Amino acid sequence: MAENATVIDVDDVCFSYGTQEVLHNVSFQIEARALVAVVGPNGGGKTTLLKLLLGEMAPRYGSIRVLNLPPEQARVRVGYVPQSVPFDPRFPVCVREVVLMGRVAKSRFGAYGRKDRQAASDALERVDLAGFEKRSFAALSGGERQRVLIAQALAGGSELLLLDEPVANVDPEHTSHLYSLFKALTNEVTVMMVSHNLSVVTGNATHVLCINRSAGLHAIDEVASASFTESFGGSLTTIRHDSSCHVLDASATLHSPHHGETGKAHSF
Amino acid sequence: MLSFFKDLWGYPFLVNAVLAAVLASVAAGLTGSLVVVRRSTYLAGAVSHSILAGLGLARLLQRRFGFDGLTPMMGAVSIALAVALLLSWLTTRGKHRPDTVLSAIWTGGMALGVSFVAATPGYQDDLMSYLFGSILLVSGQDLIWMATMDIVILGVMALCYNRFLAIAFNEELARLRGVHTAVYEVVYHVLTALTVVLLVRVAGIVLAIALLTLPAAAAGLLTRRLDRMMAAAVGIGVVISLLGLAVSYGPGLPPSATIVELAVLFYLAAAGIHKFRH
Repeated sequence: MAENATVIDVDDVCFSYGTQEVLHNVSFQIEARALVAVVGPNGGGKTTLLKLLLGEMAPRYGSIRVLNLPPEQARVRVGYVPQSVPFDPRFPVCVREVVLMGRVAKSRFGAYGRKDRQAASDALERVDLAGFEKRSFAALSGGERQRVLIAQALAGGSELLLLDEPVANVDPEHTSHLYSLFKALTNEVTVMMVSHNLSVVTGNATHVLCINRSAGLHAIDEVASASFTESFGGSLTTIRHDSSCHVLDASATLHSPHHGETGKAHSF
Repeated sequence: MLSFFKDLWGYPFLVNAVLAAVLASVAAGLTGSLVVVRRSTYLAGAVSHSILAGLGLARLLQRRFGFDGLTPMMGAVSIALAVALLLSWLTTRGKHRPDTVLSAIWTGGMALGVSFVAATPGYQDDLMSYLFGSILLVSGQDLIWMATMDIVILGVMALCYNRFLAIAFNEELARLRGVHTAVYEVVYHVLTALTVVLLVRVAGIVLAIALLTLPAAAAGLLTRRLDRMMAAAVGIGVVISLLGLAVSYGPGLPPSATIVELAVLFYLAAAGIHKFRH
């Protein structure tokens, strides 16, 4: 994909669970090879946004295009890596088998072919786990498991990686390794990750997407680390989005009419 | 035990029993390993107990309404497949608690079976053999059924193994990688149902779950990959069922109960070895 092609195009999206709206008038575009950190408070809509991008749910209003396709059609070209997989530690599976699962729908019925096994080996090499093929997945550390799941997404030929808090279960030493890996991966793919580690985010991401029911995308040089931290703490006025401040008073924004429905307010 | 091997070549029913034990172990090892890693033993239990309704209905239709071509095995297969499809539909819809649905199928199937048996003229002693197994009464016709089911199970498993593994590992990730998980759930439920029917002929409705899960669970303690677990479970199943037949033959013990007791012992031994090694 060309470097400045639009990979994610979210246009005026609203989404609610029942009567509770969690995303309101969200619009942003992400270009190829970006490393976007999605930040915001718990319940702000970060995971919901990822599910919308994966086509797991449909927006109530607005439109989403991923890799220039509707999300449900783009899904096989998107690598989703969850915070952790609900995992039985006695589940009998080795690292290579987990990585090969990234190609499960691409492979023919029956055994994986040589091309599949080569793709799995290449992906493991890209996440610095060459030689781990035969190890039990259960015996790996949290950071190594995350790397394996990322390798799974890469083996499937993903052009966009969506990572939901990828370092939540990883110790500090391996956290910086993972962020370095994400940065290196942007030579080939676009990476969007939900993160709470603000200092590391500002050191590695190219963009920051603030989500708190509404959304604002910032190039990293617009965001000063100190003021950025405040967006999670006492002051919510540090990241300005043109004329409005999306985290200043979310309830005011929420009760405004949707762009597509002139003069008609939502009931929440 | 020696008398079993001495008589083996002289009595066709013993040869049939050996073949049935091997055929049942193949299906149990393959499907049972999936059942164990997916922790869906309760599902298999519900299918096996609901089979009594199929057995009873087939015999009722045969004896009271003159459907002579209908055999209890046909009733068992039909009801097991119906339950498999019902479970697939209910779990895909996801609106009901799975354990509640399974309990209803488990107990409802047994209750219907008892009612059908009661409504059938005459004493249904062979139906009672389905409750606790009758491996020594397996006929040539039964063996053909079992071999056919084994071929189906082996074929589907060989073709879909990668997809089954991905779904068992993490259903959400498999779906997001493009696997039609709802379709494979139906296939998995059907395979489980066919395997349970096959095991009921050997160990009976009540004991079939032991043969389905214990060899696989023991194999899971000794291996670290699902394909090896399946192979080991088949091997363990063959050894314990043949050993159970041989041990029970001399003193006239019930073979299915002996096989299950050996399966429990083998599982405990594997658990001990696993604990010692880790």
